Amino acid sequence: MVLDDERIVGQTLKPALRKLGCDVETFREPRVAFERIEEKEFDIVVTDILMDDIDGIQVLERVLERWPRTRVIMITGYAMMEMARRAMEKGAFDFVAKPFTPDDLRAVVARAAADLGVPVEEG
Amino acid sequence: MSIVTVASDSWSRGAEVARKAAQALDYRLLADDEVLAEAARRHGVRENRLRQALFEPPSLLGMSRARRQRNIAYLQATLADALLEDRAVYHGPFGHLLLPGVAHVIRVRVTADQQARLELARSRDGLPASRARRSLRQEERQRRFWTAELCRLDTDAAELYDLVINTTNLDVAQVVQQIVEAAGNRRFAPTTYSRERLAQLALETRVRAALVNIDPGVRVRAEQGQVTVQTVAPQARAQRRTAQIQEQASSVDGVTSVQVEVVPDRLSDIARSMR
Repeated sequence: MVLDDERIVGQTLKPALRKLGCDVETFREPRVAFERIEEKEFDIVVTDILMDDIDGIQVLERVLERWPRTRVIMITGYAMMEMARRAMEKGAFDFVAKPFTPDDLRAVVARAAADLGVPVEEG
Repeated sequence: MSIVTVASDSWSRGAEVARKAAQALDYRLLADDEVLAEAARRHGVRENRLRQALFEPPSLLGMSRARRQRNIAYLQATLADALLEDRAVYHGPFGHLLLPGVAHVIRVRVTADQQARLELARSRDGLPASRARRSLRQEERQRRFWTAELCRLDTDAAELYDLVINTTNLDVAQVVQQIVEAAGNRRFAPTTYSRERLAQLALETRVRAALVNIDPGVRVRAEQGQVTVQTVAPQARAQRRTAQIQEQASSVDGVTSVQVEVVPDRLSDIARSMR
């Protein structure tokens, strides 16, 4: 799952992550993503932190409460030390500052997949 | 894995804490002596000058502010480079100030009650209380100076440290245990962001160290190899200063582009116009 309220992020990451062999679902509305999280266990969730009404930390908490095995990768354009520490303390797999290249995120997703025991080819 | 910086007050058993924490965590130990020696070697300056910049409080007849800024820039660059590999414990007075904003750096301060420190000064180093007291006052002055100079904060500001440990009523093993527990906390786990931040800091400090001879107050920001340098110069020298900085900064490893912003030195410009 990729959740980011900026359309361009989903549009860019979907094909990039498909190259790893991932099935990717993209969302721009956290509430819609929440509904999907209730019904499906994703291996990896990539979520923005600062979004309208629901923030990425709430997404992280909800995902791990429902699916403890899921690896959650936090992305943000407003990275700060305390924000990164808080996310990691709450169980995030990694914290990545924007801007990043599709290759950068592919590498993080590949690490998360390896951590889950389902290694993917980085291409 | 994380990085631990231990800043300790004299006679608070900080060096022993750092050494034993490194052993317990199986991290490498980096002492400020090593950083000083490496900075001296790398930048061709005398080690005692670097030591003086770091440890001697500023005074009227002491080291000039510009020279002090240069020496600190050399130390900061060397320390940032040395800590690019995590799993390290650094014991030195200002590690917590020299690596700001890196989430996987655990900033520890080790202190002790004054009476306990004076007692250790006497029993371990044979120092009489009057000399030890003088030394403590000097150390405190130096710490306040650097804290204000480097981050505009009071030395006791809570945000400077992640862990403050008073060793008066604890044995070293208990103190080390607290550090080991912090290092095991995911809050301080390295992230892609924190590693990038440290790499960025290392590049910024390397570039700054290369430019402090041109302008000791130069400011540097780096993002993925793209460097922005801010310097203050009289208008008449702006072009030459820009060219000098471009040349020097471009030669630093890891720099892909350099942008120079010259802030007009109004005072010099006014003085020049009155001549």
